Amino acid sequence: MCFLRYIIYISEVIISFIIQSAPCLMPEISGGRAVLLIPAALSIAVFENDIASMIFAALCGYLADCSYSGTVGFYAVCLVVICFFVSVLTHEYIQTNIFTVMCISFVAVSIIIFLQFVFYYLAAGYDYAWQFFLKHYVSRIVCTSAFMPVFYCINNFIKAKDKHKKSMSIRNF
Amino acid sequence: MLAVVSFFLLVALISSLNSGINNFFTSFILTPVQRLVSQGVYSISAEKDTETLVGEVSRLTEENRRLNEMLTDYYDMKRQNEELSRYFGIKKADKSLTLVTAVVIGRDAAENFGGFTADKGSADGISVNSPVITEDGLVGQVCEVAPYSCKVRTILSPDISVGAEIKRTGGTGVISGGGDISGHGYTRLINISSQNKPVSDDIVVTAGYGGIFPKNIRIGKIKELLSDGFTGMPAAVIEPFADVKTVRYVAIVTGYDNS
Repeated sequence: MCFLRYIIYISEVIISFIIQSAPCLMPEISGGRAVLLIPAALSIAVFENDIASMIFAALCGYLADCSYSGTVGFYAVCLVVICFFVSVLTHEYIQTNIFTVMCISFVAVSIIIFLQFVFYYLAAGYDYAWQFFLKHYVSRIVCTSAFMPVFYCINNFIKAKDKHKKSMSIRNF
Repeated sequence: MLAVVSFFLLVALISSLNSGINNFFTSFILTPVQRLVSQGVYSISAEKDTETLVGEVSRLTEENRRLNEMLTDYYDMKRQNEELSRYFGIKKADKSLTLVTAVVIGRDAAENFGGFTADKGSADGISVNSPVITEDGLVGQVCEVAPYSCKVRTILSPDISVGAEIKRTGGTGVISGGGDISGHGYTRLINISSQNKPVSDDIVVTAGYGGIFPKNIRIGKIKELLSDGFTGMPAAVIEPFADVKTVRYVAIVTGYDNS
């Protein structure tokens, strides 16, 4: 069942990548579009242990880097580090429900997208930096965070089904 | 025998003279009988026709499926025809251009300046810095190439530098995007040679200097004049002719004769 769960996660990641990068599919709201691979990686981190979280985060980050015309490695490194912390936080310190997950994901998405702004806009020396940040990056943070409940519900359902099957098999044993 | 014939002739004569009797006979006797008989005949023939109808339905379903396939092929060919028409239009305008048509297959959500991925790469003769155009005008420049895809940096990006010429005055400048205007789909013309002052709606084309962009590729028109905050030289906001953020089909220039 673990294997099947991972297959579903991989499908989720691939579908998120396709939807995120398909032209004219995701609407642009106030200059920003949702980066779906980030909530996908975070939602997997909420339900999986730290090793699995980091592996899926690396996969999401690699796909995000391939799609974005920037240096390969930025999203991979950021997502791996943040998903590790999210996984440890949600397994050890915080009880997970939709509200806590939304708060954690908003903070995590904000950190990743702010770092992207710092490395790919500020460090590049482009002008009107803060104006661009307020106009484009803030809307990107909001749009990306808005998709977290969808991924959370899907992965929560998968995890619940897995738990139920495990309990049934133990009972039969 | 003669009596019977005479009787019917008499009835016909009376009927022709008195249409009321005729109508009564037709409406209240003949018509209901005819209706009854015809309903019986139809019901019998309808039962017999059910099998025929089933066969007809399956034949029409098959024909519908075949027509849908033809319709799909038709739309594919129509799209290809439109793509090739654009290609032909660009070639007609400048026969020296060697073009490769491409389709925009990806626009990343994190991309700030409208950059996209096209479905042709080094296997089709595309190299880094190849200009990307449409029938409307310049779109951008290839910045990364893979064997079967390439990434395009658009003219909205501050990283691009295109030598440009104002068609009316002959003045030159450099096209380079900016963070403040790229969101509206505009780019900027900077370092304008100050002796030839441009005005709004002046057409801007590629100057052809540097050997990267062919000469006379339309870029856009001047929307607003301003002054460059860093150098103090005249600058202008350019409204590109090509809709860079929503373009679907592009042509990548793989060679040209600038003579």
